[in-house]
Amino acid sequence: MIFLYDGTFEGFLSAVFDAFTCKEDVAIEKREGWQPQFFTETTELETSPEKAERVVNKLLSICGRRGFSAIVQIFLSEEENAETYTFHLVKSVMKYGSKAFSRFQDEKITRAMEFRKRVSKECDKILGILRFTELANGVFYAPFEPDHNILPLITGHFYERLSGCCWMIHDIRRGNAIYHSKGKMENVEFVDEMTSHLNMADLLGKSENEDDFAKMWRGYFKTIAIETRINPKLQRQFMPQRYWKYMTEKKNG
Amino acid sequence: MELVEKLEILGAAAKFDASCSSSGSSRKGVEGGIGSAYRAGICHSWAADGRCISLLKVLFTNYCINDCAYCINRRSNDVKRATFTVDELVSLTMNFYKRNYIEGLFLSSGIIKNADFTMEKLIAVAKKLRNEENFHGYIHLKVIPGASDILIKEAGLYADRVSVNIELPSEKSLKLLTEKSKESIIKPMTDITGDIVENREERRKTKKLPLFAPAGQTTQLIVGATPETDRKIVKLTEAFYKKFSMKRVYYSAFVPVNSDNRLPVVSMPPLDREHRLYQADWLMRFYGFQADEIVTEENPFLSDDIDPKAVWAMRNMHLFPLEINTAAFEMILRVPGIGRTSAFRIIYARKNGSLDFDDLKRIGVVLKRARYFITCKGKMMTDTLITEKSVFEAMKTTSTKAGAADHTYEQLSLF
Ligand code: SF4
Repeated sequence: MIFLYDGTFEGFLSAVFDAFTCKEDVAIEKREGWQPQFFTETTELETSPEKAERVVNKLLSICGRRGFSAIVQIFLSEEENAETYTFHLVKSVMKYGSKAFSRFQDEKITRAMEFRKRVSKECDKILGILRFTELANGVFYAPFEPDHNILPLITGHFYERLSGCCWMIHDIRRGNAIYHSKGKMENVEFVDEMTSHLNMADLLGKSENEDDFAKMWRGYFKTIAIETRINPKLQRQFMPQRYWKYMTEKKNG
Repeated sequence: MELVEKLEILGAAAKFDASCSSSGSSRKGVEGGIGSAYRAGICHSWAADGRCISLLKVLFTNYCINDCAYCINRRSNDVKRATFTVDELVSLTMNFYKRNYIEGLFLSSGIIKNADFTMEKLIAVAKKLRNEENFHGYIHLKVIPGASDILIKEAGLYADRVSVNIELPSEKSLKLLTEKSKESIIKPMTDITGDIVENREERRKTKKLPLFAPAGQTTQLIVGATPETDRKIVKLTEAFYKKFSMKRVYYSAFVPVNSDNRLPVVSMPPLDREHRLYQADWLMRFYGFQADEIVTEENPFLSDDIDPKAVWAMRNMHLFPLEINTAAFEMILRVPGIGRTSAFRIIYARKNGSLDFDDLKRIGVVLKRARYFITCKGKMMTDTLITEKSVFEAMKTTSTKAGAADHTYEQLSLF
């Protein structure tokens, strides 16, 4: 039996709930893009916040915040069959408790933990290389295109850190953005799908001082390198080229 | 002079300081304020030399009354000079920080007038950031050799980390190349250690007391400008960790910027040597090694071909092989090819059932190296032939330079 869910984490969790109450062997897949196959029975599930919450509480009580956040990260990795691996891990956690995370004897779990590592690595990297631009309206705006769906994982960091600023972090690839002002964070509703993938700095314009600070940062970036140690390979290894597009010191060459 | 030009001069003048780390502090952000520290530190960019940029690392001024032989800012050099104002530095720090270019400020300086006068300038910047700008990001203040204890006490109230650079590994070399006395360096180090201990004890009683340099103190020394052995440097490092409870000791491969007949003539900075020293340092901080185990009196230099952990293992073959399913954590840590993360994973994973070589591979153990030192369920990996030559070949590192850079980051994951 295959359960089709709406693609959200909440939807996934409520599918997990239904899967546990179902007698059969169940797989969980995204509804969008699902190709009907012969001989497989599918059920389209409604997302139920109550069911999702019960699963969350259950998992928290078994494996704590740390374990739970590992599960979230694996789901958000959006790697191929991420749902399957997340579901497998959730089942193991129900069975073995926190020990499930170190079952390296289980290949699927090792793979799931590999996804988790990729996600947390990308989070660590992005916390450093995300760049804010001050827009004409005073909002500090940071566009980016992460490999994994990490926007929900990084906002907490900036919530604490840039409490005194209005800011917006925008996943241009997925068309999601979070806006912060005076201690409140909210999802940004874009007027339409197309706008959700546009760089707001182009749309709204930059503040008066913005180019000066960007210029000084670029100058500093150049001057800090030691000539006799130049090593572009090493630089790229730490700072993969695919991220340069939005980095003040790296874009435009 | 335009601010952009000042920044270039005073950034370039600070670039030979190796430390840029923003780790060790967990200063919290506050509502309405700007900034917080991140315990593991965050790298924000990597310069063309592959070194991480975490803090805005600049000198307050590159004027200096001293004439240290190795230093680009010495008074006898004819270089462009500049001095920031306190406000300029505060504005740069805040604006760079809000754009997420940096984790905070690392402020050092050439010496103007005298040590205390200079120190007061550095403190003024930090104080303004904290008190007027509501800034809670990372601040690393360099302590000027010879600065008085009162000023050090004040610096520690605003800074997350403070450091005094020893620069050269022996008193003799200090005398030869600088006008600084050993005393003027060791004294502030001792003061800082005392202040940190005192602060920690008093905070145990009253939590309200402000933190004093929560990310501790560090130091740095130049490698290859003077004739000291690696053993001397590693032993000195150990003493810094043990006696002064330093958080980090940084090494900076000597880059000749002045021609001076007291200095050796080198065409390239000794990067491989610097890298090996960092490996040795790592072994002392995270792997439970003593300096004497890493560099012996008979072999006072680290090996060019083989990393110090493997050298130790090869010298102590009688302690191996280890049975992975029962060996103590401390010993597993000492196996070449097994890092800290893998060692932790082994300890956790073997609670779920005994491990074989395939499991180790999944855990992330580099079997190509580890196989000579371990057994799983009593057996060595098939086709493992232990001869002096085979072990030597497997231990030889192919590239050392590639890994030379990221000493600023120290992250550990239990999973
Ligand atoms: S005191 Fe510092 S800045 Fe001055 S010459 Fe010596 S090393 Fe350079």
